[in-house]
Amino acid sequence: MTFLVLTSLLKIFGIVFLVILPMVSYTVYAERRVSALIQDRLGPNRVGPAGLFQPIADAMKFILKEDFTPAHVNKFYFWLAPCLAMVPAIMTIAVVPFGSSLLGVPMVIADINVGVLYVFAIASLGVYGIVIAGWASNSKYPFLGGVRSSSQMISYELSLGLAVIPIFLLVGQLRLTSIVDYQIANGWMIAPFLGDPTNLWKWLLTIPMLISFVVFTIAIFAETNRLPFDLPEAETELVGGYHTEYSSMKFALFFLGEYAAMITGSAIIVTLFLGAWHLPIPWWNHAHGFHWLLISGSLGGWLGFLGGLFNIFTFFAKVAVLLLVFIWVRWTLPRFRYDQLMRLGWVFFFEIALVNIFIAAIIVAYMPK
Amino acid sequence: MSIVVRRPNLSWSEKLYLPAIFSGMIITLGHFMKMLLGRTKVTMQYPEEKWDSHLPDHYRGAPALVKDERDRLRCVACQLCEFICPPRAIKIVPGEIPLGDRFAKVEKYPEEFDIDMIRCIYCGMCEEVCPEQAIFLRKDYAITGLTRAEMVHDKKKLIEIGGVMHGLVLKWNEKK
Amino acid sequence: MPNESQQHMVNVQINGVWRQFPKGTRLIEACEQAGSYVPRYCYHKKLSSPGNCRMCLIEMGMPKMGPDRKPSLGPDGKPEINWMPRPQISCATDVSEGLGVRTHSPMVEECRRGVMEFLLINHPLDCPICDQAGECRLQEFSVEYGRQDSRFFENKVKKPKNVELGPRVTLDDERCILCSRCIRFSKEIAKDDVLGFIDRGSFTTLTAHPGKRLENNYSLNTVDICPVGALTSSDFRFKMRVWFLKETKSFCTSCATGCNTLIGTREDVIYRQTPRENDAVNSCWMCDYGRLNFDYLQSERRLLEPLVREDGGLRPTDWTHALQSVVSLLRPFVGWQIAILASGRMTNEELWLAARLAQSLGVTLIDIVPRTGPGDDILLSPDRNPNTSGARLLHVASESGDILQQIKHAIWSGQVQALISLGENPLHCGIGPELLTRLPVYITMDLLENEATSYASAVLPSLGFAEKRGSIINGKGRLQRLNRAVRGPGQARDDWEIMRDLMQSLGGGNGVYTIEDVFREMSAAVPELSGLTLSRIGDLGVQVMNIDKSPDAPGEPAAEKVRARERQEHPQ
Repeated sequence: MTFLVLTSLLKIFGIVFLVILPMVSYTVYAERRVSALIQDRLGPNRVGPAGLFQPIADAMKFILKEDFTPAHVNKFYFWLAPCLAMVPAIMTIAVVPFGSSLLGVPMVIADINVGVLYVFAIASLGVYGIVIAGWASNSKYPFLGGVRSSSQMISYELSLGLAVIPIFLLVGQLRLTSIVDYQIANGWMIAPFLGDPTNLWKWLLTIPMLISFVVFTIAIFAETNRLPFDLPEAETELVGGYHTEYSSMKFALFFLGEYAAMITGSAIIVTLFLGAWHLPIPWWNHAHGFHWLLISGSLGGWLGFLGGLFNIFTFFAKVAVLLLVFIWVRWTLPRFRYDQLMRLGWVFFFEIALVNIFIAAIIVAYMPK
Repeated sequence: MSIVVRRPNLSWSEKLYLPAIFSGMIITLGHFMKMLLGRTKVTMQYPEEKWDSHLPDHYRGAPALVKDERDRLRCVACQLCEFICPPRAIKIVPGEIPLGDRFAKVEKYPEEFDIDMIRCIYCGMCEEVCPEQAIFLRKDYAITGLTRAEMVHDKKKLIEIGGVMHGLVLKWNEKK
Repeated sequence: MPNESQQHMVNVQINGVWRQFPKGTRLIEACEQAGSYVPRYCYHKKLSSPGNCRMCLIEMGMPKMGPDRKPSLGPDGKPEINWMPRPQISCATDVSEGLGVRTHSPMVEECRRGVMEFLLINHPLDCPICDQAGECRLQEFSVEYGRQDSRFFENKVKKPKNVELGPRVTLDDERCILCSRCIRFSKEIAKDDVLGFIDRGSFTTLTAHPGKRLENNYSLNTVDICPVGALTSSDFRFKMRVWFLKETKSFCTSCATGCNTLIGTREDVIYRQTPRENDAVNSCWMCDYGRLNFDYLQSERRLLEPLVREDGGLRPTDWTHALQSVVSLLRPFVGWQIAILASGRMTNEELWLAARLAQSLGVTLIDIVPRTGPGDDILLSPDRNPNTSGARLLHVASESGDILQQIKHAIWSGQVQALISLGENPLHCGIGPELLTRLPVYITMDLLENEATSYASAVLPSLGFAEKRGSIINGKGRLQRLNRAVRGPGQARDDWEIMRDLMQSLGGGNGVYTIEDVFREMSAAVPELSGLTLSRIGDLGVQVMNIDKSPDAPGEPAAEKVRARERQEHPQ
């Protein structure tokens, strides 16, 4: 028991302070550098080598700025909102298996059997930070931002939830580690044929799975308020949206919360569709001929330790690639008009996800076990 | 007369928007890769790289007072630059050259000549209005200081920037 | 006087329009009144006309006479004009019946261009260092009639530069265009014939007569009338370019004449005073003494903050505290224990408030300090107090100064325990240091720190003539208005505000908020001022009293005398 508590605490501290928070700050840095490169600029390159210390400078700046609370706001909720923006994003990561195991300890903080439901439940709380910020600011632009945010979240959470149902039809469990195990055994969800390329049913299954992946990813974009779905903070229309009245560290919390949500969202996508920490390596030896080599922490001795580390690295490398896609999309696509956003959510994605469930269900039903 | 702008009729694939989205993403990716490979020309990295060697002749930097070949400060404190200066950056206190001086026949000189470089807009009107060819905009552009007082160029500083100018009209030499 | 005007009016055609002018009007003046200004250098309306600059050439014609020796009339019923083939100078000609003038005909313009070119042959290109630049006639007419380039390639004539003509005037002979205005002014107005020309042709040089200097008290007027920068004021020389100066209409407060002036200021610094034309007071002139008497306003000795005696020394304080201490100092005394030393330099408004203050304190010992000096019969009055008339009108000043004597005796005898001096130094009117030290309370309101302020229990800094508004009645009973040209230095306050606040603190509350209110109160009580307001006084003043003591303005009458003498000398 003590061991469990101790390792859990270690994992929590490790993942939050050694992985998520540095990753958040360096995602901000990457955002600025990548956007600059896309726009034929150089981006921040002054602080440290290639500007790598820029996040530290930014943090110093945020901390040193005057923490100003306007007189006209609802003080309690005004202070509560930034915390509510940051906390759910970090909490979601608890059920995500970010590695196989390290020295026999499973690399997941809480391996619960309702994993995906937990993710949706906590992720939905993220909207409260924004809505409360919009309301507590007692000012028109934040208010509009808050209202937009809540309606957007509701619209896209539907397709988000519906998009993952085909996976559960296939796996039959909600536990995220089971989904990872299933993917290792039967091929990644995005490409189920990989597990058995000769099976035509698996190829057929690829169609609903790809649709699920696209709908889910786009819904995650909308959930994290990223462009082209950043209507709650639309600078050109709403000044700063829900965080107009915020400054200093409170603003930074919103800012970091957005990036933390991006990381969590990417982690969920990686877990559900992209095989989580799994990276098959083509291998050949005399005994088995050509086969895929599975690296995992369950091997003995040093190999096991290195394998476990490699799995963790693989997971976060996948997350990082997805984050780059997030950034890439942001600096390519313009923002939707609000009616387009609603139309897209309710008229297209909701229906597509719904139909997709039936297609997947039929395939799963007729697919020979 | 009203102009009717017809909305374009979109084809099926255009209505899907996906090709447009992907071609857009290819474009941004192209820019990204070109920058990454260093194939795009970028802004000069100022403190490390400087433009000094190829400043154009007409570059308007800090205004300064010049001396001529005979080491005479050319300014006679006519205060026309002070008058013309749009941001009122110039302040002159005129004085009379004492009788024994080498240039006593010029009679008037600036006792104090201050240009507030916080105010200066580098318009060059002072140079244009000067009847004595005494004030010129030199190529100094990095005018910095830690206090407001430091940003006021006094006569000494202005002469230091200005230096000696050759080939000017020496009208006072013809005077008796 | 319709009858008179009908008698003396003559018809003159100026640029094709027939107008009427009184007989004896100079043609150049008639043209100016008709709206076509004729350029001139030598002509000055208050001086005789030698006609030597040739700038005012115009085309002139006389009525064409018919065979019957009567003017032949044109189709419009007006006389036809016989234009003279050669131009005439308009400054030496009086209007006459049927005269025709063209001020902008091609010939006239050509003449002006020619005259300008000749004048500029030897004129140095000194404009950047010339004090006249900006108000220089030569510059102005060069713009209109000058050439862009010079056809004169020979060397310009060298003449003396930087010549000290007198203590206050510096001459640059190269700039002189030989208009002789200064010579005529010295002869005709200042009655001090010191200037003249020597040598001939291009070498003609203005100089003082051998062994003489231009040092009369009116010498700086020559600088004003000099159309170019030849005569410059040694005081104003190289101080400030004239285009920076803000000119405020005011008048001189150095004697009872009250010559009208323009105060030239820039950024709260006074650079010069120049006379402003007012034929009822000073014509176009003023004396050097009054003109230069403004330095004290920018003196190092200006009192900048109220001082109160605490712990044996005078300590700077704020106005609220200063006024409170003055009130507490005066409280223990009754009217006959207090004396007020007012000043003939105060404005009517200040004198009125001083009288009211005396009334509320029950003070009867109030008088102004007479200030006299040698006068002359040009402008300078022997009474050097600008507002003696006002002080008398408002019953602050005693006719013979006997109250001042009473004050002295009362202080000496110990009856007076508190002395309030308003802009006067008691040491200068016979109240010596031994008397001041004996006074328990001595309050002074003044501009400058002096020996007497060191004895004071409280010092209240006030404003000088260029820093405040107010009205003053000059020696001839003319009410004139001071306008504020600069802001007062430090915490110095308007005198009337100090006295108003004192009165309010002493319990005499009233609703006086602006100086206009003070004037209104005063004009309601003083019949001579009834119906007037501060703004209604106007720039040239209003005659409110008939006192005939100070000299006549050397304006038209003097010029008339000169002209009469000219006619006698050169009968035409």
